Amino acid sequence: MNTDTKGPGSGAGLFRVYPGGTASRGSRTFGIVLAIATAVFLAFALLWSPPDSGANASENQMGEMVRIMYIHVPVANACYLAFFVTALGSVMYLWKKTDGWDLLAAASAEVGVVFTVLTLATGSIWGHIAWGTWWEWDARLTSTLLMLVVYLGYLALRRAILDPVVRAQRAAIVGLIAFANVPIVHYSVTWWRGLHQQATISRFDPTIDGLKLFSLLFGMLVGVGFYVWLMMHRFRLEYAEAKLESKGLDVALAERRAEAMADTAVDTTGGTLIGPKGTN
Amino acid sequence: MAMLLATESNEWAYVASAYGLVIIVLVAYAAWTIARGRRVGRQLPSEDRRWM
Repeated sequence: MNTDTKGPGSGAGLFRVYPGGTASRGSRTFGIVLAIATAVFLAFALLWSPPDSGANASENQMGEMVRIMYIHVPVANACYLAFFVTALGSVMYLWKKTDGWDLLAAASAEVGVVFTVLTLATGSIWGHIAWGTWWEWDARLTSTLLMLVVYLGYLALRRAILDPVVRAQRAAIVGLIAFANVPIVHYSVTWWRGLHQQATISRFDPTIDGLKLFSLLFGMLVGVGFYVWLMMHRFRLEYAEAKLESKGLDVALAERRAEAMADTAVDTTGGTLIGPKGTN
Repeated sequence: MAMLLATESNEWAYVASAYGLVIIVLVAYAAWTIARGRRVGRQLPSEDRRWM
């Protein structure tokens, strides 16, 4: 059912606005600012910040490999944020029973899964040169993998249940329970000894400084920006899919009512009044 | 000296892999989400797309 009678869109090239899409003036403006911020971040992370020489006592002499941290930490930070928003949406849905909170939780979980995959992948690349292995059953790595599996389960659950109300309720409970693993992931490096290094900046005396600290913090800001921009589109997509689903249900219900009405109508051929199928 | 340069270029290969992977995955996911949004959004009347 295509109800959109507008043309293919206005503008040109990358900035073409499709009337049926999830873009808006706000998302496009934010996207342009984000693209510029990303270019500046890449310049800081890859060109302007120095390699880690290990000059300070707190540094580990990571050389050029320190640059992987500027992208690994921001994607990890973005996945924490995404799963926090999923938990928030789940709590709010259970409290308010408003569809919007459920849609927010679902959209954020999918974006969070993408960031978690990137966290594991970039961490693995780091590990191969720093530790000599692509994977180690270290507490941080294992708990992060578990977090990914749990949120994949959350997304699978949402696809498995057809009733929107039952789906939202069960997903909210799972979304809330799943978040319990996030603090475990974060504090795993403190609670258990493993290969993964301790926190670099989440304390009052960060172990890096100068341009390296700035690159990391700027990267985290860009990471949050990417999360927000993706959520703008992903939430609107979730909303559009929910609207279509509810319209589909309305159509199915109307068709079922029409069938029931037809069954109870007077059978003009026999001249007798008949009830619903099998009742007369 | 040659060994140092080899180590450095090896490190840069890992750095480039990490950045390339993140950029490719994020761009691909964004493109996929936008494409899905266009496909689904076109089926909705404009009054149901309140962000426009």
